[in-house]
Amino acid sequence: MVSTAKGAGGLTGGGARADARAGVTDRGDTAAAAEELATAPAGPSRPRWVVIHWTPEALGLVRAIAAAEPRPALTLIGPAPAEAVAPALASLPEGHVERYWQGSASGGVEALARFFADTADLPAADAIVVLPLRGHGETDAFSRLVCTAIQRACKGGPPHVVVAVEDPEATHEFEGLGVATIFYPGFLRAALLAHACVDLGAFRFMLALLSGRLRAETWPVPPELRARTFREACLEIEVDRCGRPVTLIGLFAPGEGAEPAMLLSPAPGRPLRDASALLVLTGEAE
Amino acid sequence: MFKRTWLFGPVLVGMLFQAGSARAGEAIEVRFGSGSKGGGFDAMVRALAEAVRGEGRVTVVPETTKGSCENVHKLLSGELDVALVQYDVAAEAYKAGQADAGAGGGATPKGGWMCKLSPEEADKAELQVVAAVTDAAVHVLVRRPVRLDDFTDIGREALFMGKDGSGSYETAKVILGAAGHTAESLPLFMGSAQEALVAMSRREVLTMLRTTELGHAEIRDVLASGLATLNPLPEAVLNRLIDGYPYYRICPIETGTYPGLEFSLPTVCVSSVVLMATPRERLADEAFLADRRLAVEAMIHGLRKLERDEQYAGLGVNVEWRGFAEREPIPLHPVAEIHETSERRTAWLQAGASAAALGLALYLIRRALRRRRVPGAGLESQLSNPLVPFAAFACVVTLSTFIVWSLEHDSNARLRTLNDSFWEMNTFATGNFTTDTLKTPTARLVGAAATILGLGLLAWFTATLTNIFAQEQTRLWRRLKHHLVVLNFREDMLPLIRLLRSPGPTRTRALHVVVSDALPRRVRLQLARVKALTIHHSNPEVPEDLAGLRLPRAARVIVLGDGDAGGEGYDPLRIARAVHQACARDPVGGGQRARTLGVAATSVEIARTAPALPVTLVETSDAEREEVFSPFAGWLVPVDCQALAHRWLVMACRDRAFAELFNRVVAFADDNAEVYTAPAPTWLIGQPWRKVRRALLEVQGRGGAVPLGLYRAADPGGKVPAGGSSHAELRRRLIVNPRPDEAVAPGDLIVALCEDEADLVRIVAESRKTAPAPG
Repeated sequence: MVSTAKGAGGLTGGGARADARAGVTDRGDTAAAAEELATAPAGPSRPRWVVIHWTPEALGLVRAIAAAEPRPALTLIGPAPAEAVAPALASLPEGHVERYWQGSASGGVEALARFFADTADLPAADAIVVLPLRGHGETDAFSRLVCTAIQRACKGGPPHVVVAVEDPEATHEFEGLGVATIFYPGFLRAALLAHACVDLGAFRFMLALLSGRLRAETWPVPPELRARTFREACLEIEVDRCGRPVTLIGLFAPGEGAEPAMLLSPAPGRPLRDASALLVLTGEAE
Repeated sequence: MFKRTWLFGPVLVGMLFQAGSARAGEAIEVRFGSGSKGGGFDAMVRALAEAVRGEGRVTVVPETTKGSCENVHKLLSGELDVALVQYDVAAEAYKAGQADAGAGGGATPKGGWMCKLSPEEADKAELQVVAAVTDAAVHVLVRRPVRLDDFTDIGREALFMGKDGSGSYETAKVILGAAGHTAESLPLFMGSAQEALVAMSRREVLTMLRTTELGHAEIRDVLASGLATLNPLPEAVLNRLIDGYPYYRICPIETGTYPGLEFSLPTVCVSSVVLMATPRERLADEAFLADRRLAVEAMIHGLRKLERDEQYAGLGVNVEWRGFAEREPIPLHPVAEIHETSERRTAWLQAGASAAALGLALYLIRRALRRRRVPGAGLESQLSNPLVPFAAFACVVTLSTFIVWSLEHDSNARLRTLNDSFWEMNTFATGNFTTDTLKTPTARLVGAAATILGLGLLAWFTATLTNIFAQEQTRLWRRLKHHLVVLNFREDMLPLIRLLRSPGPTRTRALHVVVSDALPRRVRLQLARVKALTIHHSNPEVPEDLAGLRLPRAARVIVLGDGDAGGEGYDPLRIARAVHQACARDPVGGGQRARTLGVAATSVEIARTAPALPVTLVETSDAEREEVFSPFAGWLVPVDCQALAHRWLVMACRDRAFAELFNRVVAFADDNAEVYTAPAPTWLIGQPWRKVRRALLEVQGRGGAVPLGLYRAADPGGKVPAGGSSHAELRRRLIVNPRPDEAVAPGDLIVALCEDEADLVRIVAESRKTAPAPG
């Protein structure tokens, strides 16, 4: 469903984990580090998100973004003229969308990159969602052009880019374009229904993750647990700083290329000495 | 008693209208030729005389003779009315009588018939068989340790064949003739059987040919003494004998007939018949013939009595009309024919009644299967079932085995037993037969039919098996219990099928996919290659089309939306209604209490007739609000996949670890952990979550499980709610990160991250060792 493409400059989805590792090293204060480094987006109190290839069919996405806490300042970029989408946008409550721009890759990548840099101010965005653009030829090819333009526009390092593709086989085409996450909605549908066939409890767990009621947070490794095993850490970590029950479900450890890799439910006897961070499940399902 | 009256009725009525019945009241005396005094024939005739006595005016007068030969001579000369005669001797006499006595002129030398009969003598009377009564087999006794594979050297030492004039002697003569010997050229031992045994013990006699009933006490004693062994009649001799003298039949001396006999020995059997002779000059004497008919009726009655009565069991009487020899040229007496006809009619009626009963039973079974809508009950579905051609092949082989055996077991040395016939018919049906196995035209016709049918059925069987192996799917494996059903499948949901067939708990579950005609052929071909997946081409909005899926037994039903069809495809809501109705009509789902169709229904009635329904997941979209499905909330879960995809994007933007975490949790990969649930065991019930968690984490093993929480029943320990288990399942509550003091309740499931479901079950089971003591 998801793949993480590594950008030329190494600015990928692993950035947050690198921050977490730094946090532990600097402070060694688990609770404070957790609060600071919980994987909520960094930056100003109201993050800025951009959705590219937006059309009125994706009104639901706008509502979902507006429901996020804190609510992001949302910029939409779509192929249709502003007048065409105005009725759809007018149906949304005030403040859901900050700005709508008409723009697409049909004018060329360079022009789009200039538009992204100069007009839409993409380098300042915290997260960018690239939706599939239907009805303009090969859908995922357009998304790839958009990602190229984003990369050129954000020379210093692109923000967190999430691309939704139609064809999972097109995933590898996004390699080297600075895309953090490639999402295949068809697989999400299949996975949810398949898990519902296996176990309704697992299915509800996933719904809880999607709704945000359950969250996976990255916590630094407390120094007192460094010499211990994953099982012992699980027994040790029971509540967060506020006394709410939590569950340690995994850890980050050096993987290939020195990039920290997520280990979900590792062997109970695995030592934590090389772990860069802990993965903790917080919140309540229902 | 009734049966006997029914049998005799036509005979007696016929006799009343005979002219000869004018002599009614006079005694009818039947001169019955038996055999040597104290022999088997003598005992039987005396018993018959006793049985007939007191029944009507017929009296049987036994007359002692030297055996079959003398009996025949006396019958032909008119000295006897009836006699017991070995059938080969009787048939030879009949054949001699059929021969033209004047042919070749008086100067032509004559002779060669058994018992030195001449055509002139045999032509004096007309012979008729009343019944065959006993059976005897030729026993080849050879002094130990000699064994004779053929009869080439049988004359190197003395040979005993029986007394001259007995049927046994005549039989031995033709057997030796079939082996290329004449009695005159062989060193025969002339004496009684007892004397021959003594001579054998002195090593003066090598071989004894004796025609006696199977299991005869004398033979048993000889074998037990170790003096001699039984040898088979060589196959060549058997065949030549049957070809030249078809009055015998090939019969085996079966294993166990004598102590120590461990192999079946081929030999020939010959029956003894009650033979009646009517002098030629009295063939038109109706009064005489009427008396004869009464006499025959009385004798048949007496023979039946000997056959049934325990008192006469030692005589071994078994009345038969036909089928006791390869060919039976002597006609049956008309009274015996009436008996035979009525018995045959009774047998046919019984067979017909049995066939009708079987047909009725099959019809009722078929009707019951169709009423219960058992899948695979239709003819079309049976075409792809390999068991059908296999069963048909077995039927063809079995039927042809019986037919061929009944046709040839008396005359064909290779088809002596049903076992032989079964093996030969197998070779025919599989095309591996040899051309000289069958002899008679009818048997060859049956063999040819068995070959053609067998090869055709084998081709069918092979084709169905090939089809199974090629497609990796078969009706045999289309399980309809705890199966998964996908309704309204569309192309972009192929990943769902891949996931359901990836390593994980659903991999072994039967998968039934209902597709519409609009689904491209290439996608169907892709589906056809998936193991244990059955494709159904039907309309998912029609409950009758879903009946064969046995939905109440399904583990899950997935109803997919119409995707990009823009409302032109099937509607999920209508499909959900069809699922409900299909379950209501299914016997398992509550078909017996299904509500009848009417103009109105009360809420009480609707609640009473609620069927058992499977947990059903329906893919919905923005266009269908969740409230649309609220009437089905007890068993149906609407899944708005588009909204969930939007939420996924939001979470992926907000939480940078979310994408990877979610991806790992949902992928059924070998080296990955997914979320599973397992029932909480009794030793964990009532324990606080902190202790439960600790117990699970402390289980040692290759992999571990990370306990996440509890999946709690709505009514812990309560009854299953109305609507069945799906209602109970959907009313559960997921508790992740429970409070440390949260107690585990009865019916709770433990939710955990684990590599696979089996691992979690194992860990939960092993937690007994690490669990805290109750209280």
